[in-house]
Amino acid sequence: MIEAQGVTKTYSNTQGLLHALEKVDLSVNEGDFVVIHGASGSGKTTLLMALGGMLRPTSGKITFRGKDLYSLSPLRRNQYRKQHVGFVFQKFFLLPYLTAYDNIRLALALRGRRGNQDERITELAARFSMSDRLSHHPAQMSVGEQQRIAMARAIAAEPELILADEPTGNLDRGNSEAFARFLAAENRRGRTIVLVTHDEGLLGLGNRRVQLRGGKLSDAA
Amino acid sequence: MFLKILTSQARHKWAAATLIFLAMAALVTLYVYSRNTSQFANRSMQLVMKNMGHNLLILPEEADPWAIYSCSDEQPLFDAGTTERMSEKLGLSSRYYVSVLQARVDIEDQELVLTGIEPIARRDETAEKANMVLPLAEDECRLGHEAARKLARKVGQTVELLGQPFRVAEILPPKAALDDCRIYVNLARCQAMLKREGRINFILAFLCLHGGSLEESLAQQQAKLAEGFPGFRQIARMDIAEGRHLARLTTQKSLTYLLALVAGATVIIVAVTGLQEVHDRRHETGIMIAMGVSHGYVVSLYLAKTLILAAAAAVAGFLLGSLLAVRLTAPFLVVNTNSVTFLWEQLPAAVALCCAVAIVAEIVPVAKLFFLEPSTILAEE
Repeated sequence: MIEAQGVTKTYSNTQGLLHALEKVDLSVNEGDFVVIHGASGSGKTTLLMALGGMLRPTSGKITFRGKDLYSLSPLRRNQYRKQHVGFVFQKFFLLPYLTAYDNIRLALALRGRRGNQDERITELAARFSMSDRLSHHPAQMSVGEQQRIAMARAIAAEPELILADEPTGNLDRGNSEAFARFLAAENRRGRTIVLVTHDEGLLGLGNRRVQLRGGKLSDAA
Repeated sequence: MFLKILTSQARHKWAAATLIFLAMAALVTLYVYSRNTSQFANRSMQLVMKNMGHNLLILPEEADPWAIYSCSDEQPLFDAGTTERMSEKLGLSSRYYVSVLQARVDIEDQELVLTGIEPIARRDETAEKANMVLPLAEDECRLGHEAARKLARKVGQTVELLGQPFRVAEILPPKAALDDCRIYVNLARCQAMLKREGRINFILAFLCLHGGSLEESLAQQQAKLAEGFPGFRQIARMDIAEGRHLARLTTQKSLTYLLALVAGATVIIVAVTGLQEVHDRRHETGIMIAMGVSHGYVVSLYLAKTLILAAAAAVAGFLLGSLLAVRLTAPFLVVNTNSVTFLWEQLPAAVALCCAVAIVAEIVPVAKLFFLEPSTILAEE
């Protein structure tokens, strides 16, 4: 489905060149649940952003169903994210001025779903046990609830690929486990998931685990 | 959803939205107040300068002005109908014509200047800015200040001029000029008394300026006069003409500089607020782009919000500025002019100005927004 071939990402700073990724090869098939783990600064987020079409590698290729993402125009890459990708982040990044309902509705609207979306939003809220929180703003919700709404937003428009960047980084043990169950359930529904984490509790998830160390990838399991 | 996000964003950052609104409303208020006030002040100034007297003397080409200034027997004489014909030429910039016939006379052993006058109006002259010379009834006279003193006459008394009685209708304030020694009478009576029926010595007029330099206005007027009335020329009273020209320039320039200053300050306020907002909303921008939204959509959210605020501020500023002009300006514009009022025709210009300032001010924030790197923002710890 999505493949990184020899991906290198280099940043330059005052101390010279920093290799965030070095010749990374990763192939993710339809329905895979890939867990990428590694220490802070190992290049996990850089890889995820590159897979999401938001960070052009210094060299190498990222292909989605055979198409080189970075040979596409920025507008086509937007389309790629709009049609195929759902993001979940450690900080959730819910829009603070919209209710939970509107945060989910925004994802649907941005992806061209117009008209009444009540049924879809209600179904998603029920799936993440958030039915009674739809009228609340993010500031009125716990971090665990915010992450569930962020997850509902990410899958609202039925993307085939979920890219999750440390989604449990701000959650306590109970919420992390609950979130892990949500991810596993979405994978069982056929969604492909790439999860970046250093949370030991999530390492058991997925059908494939890889490790990033100093920008280099190695299969861990 | 676009509108929902727009209004929600404005409500969420209400302080920033209010600051932008107030800055732009202040700009428009000042713009409308200054423009309104200066327009009426300029009009008042025009009237003030006009009340100083005519600024053009029109006489036959070959005539010696000295003869007119000294009121000698060598003065030119020409057809009084010339003034009427001149008033029908609306292409001329002169107006408020007065036909004048004058002669030195001895009245009660005092040497004075008998002056026959007849104001001639153009059909496009308004009642608001009427001729500065009022017509005289056939049995009335108007005395210059020195003439009244020499003749020891007061308003309402009678004076005999060349054997004919006239009632003193008015005594003019002193001017420290020959005019102080004049006795003004109706032109037709004067012509009859001096046996110069249908004849005048010169025409007084007032040159109206319509932008451009004073020299250009005078040259243009002279060219039109030569074209329509060959054999005639004009002599300008440059002190009055220049005074009026400078008054116009002063109000226009001070308005321009003031507005430029305020517009500059508003641009800075809106730009700084916009930059701060772009920074504050960088996570929202990042997540929207991650969700597949284009930079254009995010930029349009900023611009639409700013333009809506600008339009609202323009209307609010227009109303406030007009109200201030009416309330604050009207009491001190005491000359005989139109009432200071709401100039609704300025509203589109106010909205356009405000929107232009908003767009200029948003150039830097929008440029910054375009260069935001969502991958960096979303990876922020």
